[in-house]
Parts: sequence; structure tokens; C-alpha cells
Amino acid sequence: MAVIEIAGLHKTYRRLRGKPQKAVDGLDLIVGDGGVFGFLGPNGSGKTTTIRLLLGLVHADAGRMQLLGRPVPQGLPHSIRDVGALVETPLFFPTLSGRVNLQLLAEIAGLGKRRVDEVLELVGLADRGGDRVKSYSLGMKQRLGIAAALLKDPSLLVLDEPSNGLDPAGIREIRELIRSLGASGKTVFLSSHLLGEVQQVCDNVAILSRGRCVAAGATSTVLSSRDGGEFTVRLDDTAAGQAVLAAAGLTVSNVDGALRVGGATNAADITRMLAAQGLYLSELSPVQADLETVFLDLTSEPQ
Amino acid sequence: MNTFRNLCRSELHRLVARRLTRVLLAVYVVFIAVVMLIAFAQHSKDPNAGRAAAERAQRQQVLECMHIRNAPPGSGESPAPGESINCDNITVPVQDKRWGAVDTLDAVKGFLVFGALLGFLLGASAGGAEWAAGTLQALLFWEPRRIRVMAAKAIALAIVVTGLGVIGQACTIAATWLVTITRGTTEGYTTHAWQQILGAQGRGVVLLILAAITAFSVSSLTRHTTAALGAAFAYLVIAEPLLLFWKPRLLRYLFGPNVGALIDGKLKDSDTSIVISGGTATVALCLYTFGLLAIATALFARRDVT
Repeated sequence: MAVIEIAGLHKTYRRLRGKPQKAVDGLDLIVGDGGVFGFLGPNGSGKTTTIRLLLGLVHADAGRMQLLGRPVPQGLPHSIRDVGALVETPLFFPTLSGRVNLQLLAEIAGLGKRRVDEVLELVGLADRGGDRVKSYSLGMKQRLGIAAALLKDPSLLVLDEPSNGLDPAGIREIRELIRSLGASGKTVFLSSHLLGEVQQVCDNVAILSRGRCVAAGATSTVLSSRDGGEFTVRLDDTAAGQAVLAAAGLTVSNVDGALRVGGATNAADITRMLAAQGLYLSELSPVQADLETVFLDLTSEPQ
Repeated sequence: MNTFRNLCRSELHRLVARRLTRVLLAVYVVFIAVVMLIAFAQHSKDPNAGRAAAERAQRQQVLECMHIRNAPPGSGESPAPGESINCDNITVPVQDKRWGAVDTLDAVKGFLVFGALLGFLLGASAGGAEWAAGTLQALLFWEPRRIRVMAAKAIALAIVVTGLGVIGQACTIAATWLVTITRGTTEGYTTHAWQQILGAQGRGVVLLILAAITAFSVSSLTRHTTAALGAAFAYLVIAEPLLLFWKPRLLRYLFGPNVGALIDGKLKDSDTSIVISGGTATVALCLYTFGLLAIATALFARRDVT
């Protein structure tokens, strides 16, 4: 079952001054149940606007959205009960403590104080829960925002840049938390700029550019779609190997003592060409593009 | 499960937990205490205290009069040629220095105007602070039905300011009664006087609620506390006087005169002969307040929250 379904979504911000700004331009997206879904795109690509549209904060100009099987915005009062969200910076009353801020939210859903303590413990804020939010660091506010999103024990968690302001240890903790939430059967819809983090935790990704989805699917599939038929080749006589492969019309470069070979249709061709000249391989592996490379390739393409 | 009652309860706790709410209550109580301390110092339980003060003032005025009458011609203080000065008929009216029911009624009216100003500030902040901190967005992740959100906020605000108003009026009665028994007389506290005092207090609480909800509506429209305060200032200090100057008969429809009628129970304008009763003023102010709230709610339901 799809937890998020978006079809032909459009949103243009109209300002009193300046030109209208097209934020989402015919977006189609389907997010399946369970696991961690990475939602990527450069600044201004429409990620946060899409999240705001899904959560009913802004109104769509056109298109259709469904959240947990219910249409947005009509079915939102029902589906929101099972959705936890953190959009951009977490927003709390600065003069109230973290615990009181969470209690006020918990009260709306009739949740008890025990649940508040549980989520504070989960994000590592149990000791500072009684302090005023204005005394928190950016990372602590971010943790409190994640705690607020987890408060309802939602089946869908929407996290927009949850690692903002966190130190490396904090980023790792949040990564582990997201991974465990995804593994526990919940769906985590994760928007992030930290592509390395996304690649480590996401089962599926979608990449946005200029308000449209330019790639979507399992993370491994999206990565392999940009492999480009490159291989890493290691052998004893690197110079001889480079000459043989170049003579066969392949593009060859020497990278840190290994050959980077492009243009081959398959690995067997490389093996055969080198073996025919008495050159034997110690390594032959396909070069897999990382998410950053794929992201930059896709989002810099003219559309 | 989200219920409207839960939402109202959460909003109520949010308002009570806010430091500004407690600060404004403290300011109100301190203001009452300071004013009543001054009243305590300026009044006396002795019914002849006013007479003695009047006699002292009369003696002083007679001395000054004789000094002028006897001044040598050309000294600058002497009377004009041909002018006769009579120092024998100088009288000074005797003021009753005792605190009484009339003074209490005046004090109640003064305090309720101050209370309404504080209520306006609290209402403006209740809307504006949510936009400034962005907590309204976080709230919509829990309750996306915006009309419910606005209704819950308005109800919670009305309950909180009613509580503050009742506390303020109780402090007012306690303080004025204390001054009455230590520096005044209970003679004037007839049934009619109590009706006037308690009626003014009741109208004061109504005014407090209307002021707070009006301010909340304006700050929801402007999305900023100071913008709401500025708009209110501009309207009351600039727009209304200009409107009155342009068309005096608009008086019956304007906020200020209706607030005056609500406080005093009745307003009679000598220039236009327009009379606004307390009941008419209450209905008019309720219409304006809930009209503004309806506009603010409708716009909140339509506008993007970014």
C-alpha cells in the first residue's frame, strides 16, 4: 500500500511584490509502506513545499494527493493522527521547557505524560527536558522536534532535514534512530541534503529538480542507472594494460594505480582483450556511482 | 484521539503557562495596590479632616488677599487704581476627605480601563507570539482543521481573561473596601451603590474579554503582535477622531464611544444628543469583536502557513 501518493501536483507562490514563484511543477510521486524513503533535491527544488502541501500547511493549485490512503486536504484530520512531522526548524515556545512544549502537544491527542518522557528519553533529552527551550542548542532543538514528531507513535514520519545543527555523534544517533524506525515497520519520509546519510539509510529515493521528480525508485536502482559502464581494473603492468585497452577504443585513465575503464559493454570484453596480450587481472569491478554523483548529474541536467 | 475539548484544554494550559499572562496579572494587581496606597495616603477617616483643611486654605487665601490689598501703590502687587478688594467673603468649599462608595465606583471604572488595555496586550500576544515562534505550524500537524484551532484559541483566551478579570475585580473590591474601612465611611454603600459597583465590574470583565478577542483577531490578521498594537493605536488615536471630526453622527458606531458607554453604563453626547446605552454598546462591541474574529478565521483557513 502507498502511504503517500502525489499526482500532477502544482504550487505557485504569488507575492505582492515580485514575480510568481513556481515551487512544484507537475510532481508525481508514490511512497510505499515501510522503510526509509529519501526525498532529495537542491535548494528551491520544491521539497519543503511538497511536504507543506502534504501536511495541509499550504494549498495546492492543482493535482491530487493522498496521505495514508486518504485525500489531502479533505481526509487530513483523520490521516494526521498517524503522521508525525518535523518541517525545517522545530518550532516551540522558547520560554517554556521542552517537556511542557511536548505535554501541550500530547494533550491535543489525549496522550499521557509517560509518552512525553519516553520520547525525551528516545532522543537523549531526558536530563534537559525541564530546561527552557531558549537555552537549548540548535542540535537539542532538533532532537526536541524529532521527539515531537515521534510523540504520536506515528506509522508515517515526515522529517525535513532532521540532522540540521547536529554534531557528528548526533548525526550518527539520528541515523541509527531513523534506520531502526524504518526497520520497525514505520515509514520514514526523509528530506535531507546529507546525501551520504541518505545513501546509508534509505531503501528508496526520489530526486526533485525544479519542482519535478527526475528519478525515483530503490536506492540501488537509481544508483545503477547512472553507472555508465565504467570498471576499475588492476593488473601488474598497468602501462601495458592501459595501452591495450586504449588501442581497443576504450576510454582509460589511471586513478591511484588502478585503471578506470569506460565504454566497455561488459566485463568479459576487458578480460578477453587483456588475456589475449598475456596480461592477467588482479581486480575487475564495476564502478558504482555514489548518490552525490547521481544527484548532481540529474539536478544539473537541463529540462 | 483529537477532540475539541482536548484542543481547548491544551490551549488553556499553553496560555496559563506563558510568562506574559502571569506578568500582566502581577502588573494589574500591583497597579491596583499602588493606586489604593495613594488613595489611602490622601484620605482620612476623620469627617472634620476636610473642614480643617478648608479652614487652613481659607486663612491662607485671606492672608494673601490682605497682602495684596495693603501693598503700597506701584509695588507691582497693589490693586489697580479704583479697584476695591474685599477679603471678608472668601470661602473654600469643604471636601469630604473620607473614601466612600462614589470613590470606589470611580476606582472600579479606572481599573477596568487599565485591565482592558492589559487584556488587549494579552490577546495580541496570544495571536502574534504563535506566528513569531512558528508554533502555529507545529499545532497544525496535530489539528489541521483551522477553524477548530481558531475557535479553541478564542475560547481558551476568553476563559483565561475572564479568570484574570475576576481576580482583578476581587482585588479591586478588597483594596477599595480596605481603604473604605480605614480611611473612609461605609455610609454610602447602599444597595443601589453596590448595584452600580458590581454592574461596572461585570461590564469590566465583558470589556476585558472583548478587548482580548479583538486583539487576538487583529494579530491573527497581521500575524504580528506589534503590528496589531500599532493598528489599534492608529485606529483609536488617529482614525476615530478624524471620523468623528468629519461626521460627528458616526459616534454611535465607533469603538471608542461604545467602550465609554459600556464602562459608564450610558453615554450621552452633548453636541449630537446621541445616547448610547450600556446594552446597545455591549451588542455593538460584541458584533464588532466576533465579526473581526470571523474575518480572521476565514482568512486563516484560506491562507498558506509558511
